[in-house]
Amino acid sequence: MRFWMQTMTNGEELAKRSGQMETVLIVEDEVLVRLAIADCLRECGYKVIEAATSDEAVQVLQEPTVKIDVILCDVSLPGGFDGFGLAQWVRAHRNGLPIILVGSPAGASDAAGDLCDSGPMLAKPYDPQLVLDRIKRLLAELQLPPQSKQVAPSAPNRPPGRIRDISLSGAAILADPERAMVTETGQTVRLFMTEVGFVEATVVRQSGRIFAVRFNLPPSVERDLLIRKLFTRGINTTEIEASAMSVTAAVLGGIVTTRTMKPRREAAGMPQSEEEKLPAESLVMQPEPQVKKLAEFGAERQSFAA
Amino acid sequence: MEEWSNRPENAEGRKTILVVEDEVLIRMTLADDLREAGFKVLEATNADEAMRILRSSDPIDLVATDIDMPSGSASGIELAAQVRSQWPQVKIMIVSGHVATDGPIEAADAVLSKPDALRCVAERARALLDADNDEW
Repeated sequence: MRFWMQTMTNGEELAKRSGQMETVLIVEDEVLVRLAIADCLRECGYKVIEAATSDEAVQVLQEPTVKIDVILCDVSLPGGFDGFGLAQWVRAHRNGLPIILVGSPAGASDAAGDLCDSGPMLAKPYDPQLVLDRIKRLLAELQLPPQSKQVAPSAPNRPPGRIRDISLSGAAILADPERAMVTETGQTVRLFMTEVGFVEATVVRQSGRIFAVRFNLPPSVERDLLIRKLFTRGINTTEIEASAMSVTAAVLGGIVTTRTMKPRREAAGMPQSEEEKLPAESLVMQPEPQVKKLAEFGAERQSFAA
Repeated sequence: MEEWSNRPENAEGRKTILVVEDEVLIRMTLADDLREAGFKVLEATNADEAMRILRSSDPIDLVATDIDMPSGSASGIELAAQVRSQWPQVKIMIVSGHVATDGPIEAADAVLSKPDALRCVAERARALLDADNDEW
């Protein structure tokens, strides 16, 4: 079988097929779901390779002439690995290739965050706009020169930490390469935020898993836009302070859902986004345990702001 | 390079082909070839997935299926028979490494043998679907 497969799909041919388009490998076992999200991404101009199991994904990833730019992977998968296992395999064998995990099993979000450099796990059912936003951001980050992806300064004898994600589905995750949910005061990172662009962020205070992060405004960005973007992502800037040149926000070192943050936003009199105007059930993005976890952080967050 | 005006079109713009193949790299290659030829292509890894797509998606014009697909409950031959019985207007192309020469298989409109199929799948698909248009 392998012999004639190689005859059919020799390296040159596969390389030619990969072409110049940015390529997304979708790993999803539900055929109708896979079909829908693949269709959507193709219409948006991406080349899409479909895999139904982790074994198929590994087979594609092991083919050196097939160019893959980003992987979109369901957490629950048949085959040798589930989505987390595939993420670990990618880390070991194709390190640097971004992988976006999608799913909603209880308690899985933190594990996903620990495994993926590409940000918090996306919730199912797929929201095509969220998927597109995440893919665009990751591909934009891949275009950055290496030094801009580094964090400076770092504490002695400790690998540099960084803020992983601030653009989607929740608050920033602060994490170091050892996957601990901590970071050092004084660390500065450069983040990419949709509509805003690149923003420098510095950790200025820390208490447990709550952080105060100062976002330095690029000259071209209005403060209100940044505040609005942070608020949309579940980061309440009003708890701390905002000046003409920077915004300092309380950031929870975990994942906060759109649904969970909605009451806070409405209470603050902020205008509803298009996302929030959707029926409530479409905003259910995380299982119940995640909401409870957020509540546990509430008291800590209030005392920190005070 | 083929002129866009020569690409297969129907009222919706493109004919739809369902590729059923359990080897991911072959499926990818066949699907790529057909997409480059201007078809809309859906992909299934076995007969069960193919039936789900056939029952739920927009009309399919042609099913191109492998024969041996152990991950599903039916072979490509059985899938072809089911498609012919339930959707008689759908053209069926068997693409298999186990077919020594192109020859008749009941319920199939065309039979291609691998690895040659890769070089001519788009051409054969177009011939089948053009013939379909002529009939109408």
